[in-house]
Formats: sequence, structure tokens, C-alpha cells
Amino acid sequence: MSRSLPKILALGVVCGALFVRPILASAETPLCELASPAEQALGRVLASPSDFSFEGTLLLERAEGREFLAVKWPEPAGGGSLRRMNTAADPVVEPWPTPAGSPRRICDLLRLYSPSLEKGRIIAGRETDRLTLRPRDSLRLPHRLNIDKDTGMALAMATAGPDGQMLERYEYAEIRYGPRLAANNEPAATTRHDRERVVVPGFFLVLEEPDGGVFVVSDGLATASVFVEPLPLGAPGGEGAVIQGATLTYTRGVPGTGGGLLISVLGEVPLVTARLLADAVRAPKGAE
Amino acid sequence: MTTRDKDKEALSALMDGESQELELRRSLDSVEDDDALRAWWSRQQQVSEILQSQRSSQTGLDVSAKVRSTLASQPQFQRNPLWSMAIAASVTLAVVMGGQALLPTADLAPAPLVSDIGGAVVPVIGAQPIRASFDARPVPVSTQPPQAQGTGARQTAAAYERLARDRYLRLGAQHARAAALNHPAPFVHSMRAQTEPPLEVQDLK
Repeated sequence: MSRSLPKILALGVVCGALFVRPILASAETPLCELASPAEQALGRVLASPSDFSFEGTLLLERAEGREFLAVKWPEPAGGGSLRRMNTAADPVVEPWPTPAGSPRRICDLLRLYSPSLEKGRIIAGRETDRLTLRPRDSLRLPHRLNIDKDTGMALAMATAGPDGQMLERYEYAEIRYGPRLAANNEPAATTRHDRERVVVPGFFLVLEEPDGGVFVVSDGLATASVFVEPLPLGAPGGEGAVIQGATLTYTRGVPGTGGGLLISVLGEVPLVTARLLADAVRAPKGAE
Repeated sequence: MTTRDKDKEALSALMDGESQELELRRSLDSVEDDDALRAWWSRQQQVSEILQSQRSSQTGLDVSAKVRSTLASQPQFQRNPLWSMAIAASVTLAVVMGGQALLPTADLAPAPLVSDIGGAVVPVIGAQPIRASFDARPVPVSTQPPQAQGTGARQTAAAYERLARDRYLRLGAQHARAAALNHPAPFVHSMRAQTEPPLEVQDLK
């Protein structure tokens, strides 16, 4: 630990400076320099939902099978909408939320993922660049996006497992852009990427409801939800995991003399991250 | 120097942003498989957090009378102990996530790349046949092969695997709503918000 100390102190100074800067910066101006074309491309991807209105259809493939979707952004009431085209003759319109935004988000992501940019293929009749996000550690998954050269929209995205095996992907079949949205179309406060403390490396608490036993952490791209329930008395300790698409579900039973905990972690994260998140749950005193 | 000592040294280097690619990968693999090593790493990070913030994440421990009463009021199991693990989601208890401070530092970059992505699904040049991977599947959590485990251990592992499937169905929508906020295409997660009904308790027997 001794060799960590100088860097920790230096980090404290840097963090102090960062606490001051957000006050001066606008909501979507990155707090870090986007030097390379790949970094700038990632910045455009994160900003694109607030830039353009659009309607399109796409194919989503994951564990449950294939779904054709019609999506629209934004809706007058806020957020976007989707319809599942292959589930019913008259599909129900379902909402999807406004993505979170923060000038710190891309800076977080660039510390955790290494972006690289190449020429991409034509998708939905539009030229794309292929942006690959390789994690800098084993605590998150790699992603590959095809982004529209003109708008920065992610027209295709694939997520792979740590072993490189494809887990899920989507790709637009067609897309129609509408007018550019107003510049002040910033995400609502409730959808901002607000960071609290770090739980495991690179993952910040974004929601904490201790009384409900619910915690949500995110690294700015990947998200994991941690649910904690009482473990019935007499239940043996153990663990199990399944993966559906890119979503890993990990459960761990931790017996205790006064009653144990049943911890469930759902997230687009590798198993090691889920385990570390389960490790981070502290049992209430008297239940250990 | 033992393998565990090497792992600890590598993890310390990771906390200092001085890890090497191969070493980092091997050590994180070790963390995944070694409970004791993971606990050690967590403790080191808590110490690091205290040094950084002059506060301990342990100060956030919430001792709730409601929690203790919830735990104490549970009935003892008479049959399969996993029989009623499908607890009502309305049961509340207070727990705290301990912080493990390893803030991503600027000098971590350029960091090692330990993962790459596979091929595409559509037939494009260089694509790999990956359709077989689009299946829900259990993730092995034990380093021991099933045949090397006792019957009880196998049954417990199978029960927890079923429980994980149940929790995905029960809690997937709630997770999807949170995850959508951080995804470039939020509708991908919204697709998960409507899932099949959860398994009945009887299915967990």
C-alpha cells in the first residue's frame, strides 16, 4: 500500500479540481480532451440522442431470439417509443427513457474503455464508422458500434463476452432523421449520469435504496443492479449464474446466524464483476 | 513467492495503475476464482478509500431494527431449504454497499486490452458463425467439474442456478429501466422490461 500513497494524494488534488470544474462547464461539454477521432466518435455517440429526432426499424438479436422493432425519438411526452413488430398485428407502443447525460460520462468511459475507429460498412443505407470499445480491465464487456458518419447515431451495436463470444446485437434496417433538436434539450435531472462513490473499480453508485435492498452501479455504459433480500433460515450458502443475451444474473446466498442475505446481481457485466459487487454488500449488524 | 503472493502483488500494482497486461489478466482471473484473494483485494481497496477520503465506507453500515426483525421472523425450513427462496419483493431490509475505492486514474491509460470482440452476425467478410451463442445458458461458477462435487453441492448449485433464472425474470424489468439510462440505444434495455412471468415457487423445489 505504501507505494499507492503518493498517487492517492495526487489523485485527491485532481479530484478536488474536478469538483470545481463542473460548475463552470455546460452540461454536455466534456470535462476532458477528446484527442483522437475515436474519442470524438464516442463523444458523438453519447450526444446523438439529444441532437436529432428519428424514426426507424431495427433487428435485435439476443438470447430470447430475434425481434423487429420500430422506434421513434423523441415523443412529445418525453423519451422515445418502440413497437415490437413481430409480436402482434397491432403492437402496443412502449416507452423508453431519455438517456442519461453528463460531461463527466465520456471522461469516465475513456478511462475504462479503449476506443478505436475504422471505416464501417453501409447500414440502413448510410455510411458508418466502426467504433470498437475494448475494456481496459476484465471487469466489463467489449462493444462494437457502427455509427452514422453524419449524425453519430449508433446504427448497429454488438456486445461480446470476455471470451469474445457474441452475446447480443442490434442493427437498423432503415432510419429516417427529422429536424435537429433544440440545443437546450438536455436530459432531465432524473436521467443524469450522477456519480456517487465507487463500489468496484470504475463502477459508481447511481442509485441507492438501502431500505429496499436495491443498488444500481454503472461505469457510464454498463449497468448492474444489486438486489438484496433475506435468505431463509436454514438455506445453504451457494451461488449460481445464468446469462441471457448480455445480461448476467448472479445469485449468492450468504447464511448468517441471525438470518442471511440473498444477493442477486443483474447486469451487462462479467461474472467477476458480479462477484465483486456481491462482495461489496454489507450485511446489517446482528444478521451476520 | 507463492502464486497468491504474486497475485496480491499484481493487484497492488493494479491499484497503483502499474499493472502489466498479462499479469493483470491472470490476477483478475485469480480474483474470480479465489474467495480469499477477492476478500483481501476488497480490504485493500477499503484501506485505500480511507486514505483518499479520510472516511471508511463501513461508517455507512445501517443497522436497522426492521431488518433484524425481518430476518428473525422468518420461519425455519422444514423441507428443501431452497423451497421458498422466491421471497416477495416487497420485503424490505437495509443493507449498505461498501465502497471499494479504486478510482480510475488518468495514469491508468494506456491500459492493457484484455478482451476483444467476436465477429458479426450478418454475413460480412471475416464474420464468424456465432448463432449458436445466442442461447440462455448457465455460467459455471465453480472451478470444480460437476462430477468432482458431492451430491449436496451439485443440488445446491443447481438450485442457485434455477434461482438466478427466476431472479432474471422477476427483477429483469427493474434492472432494464435503470440500465436503459446508460445505453446508447436505451430501447435495447426497454425490450427486456417485458419478460415472461417469474417461475412459481413450486418450480424451485
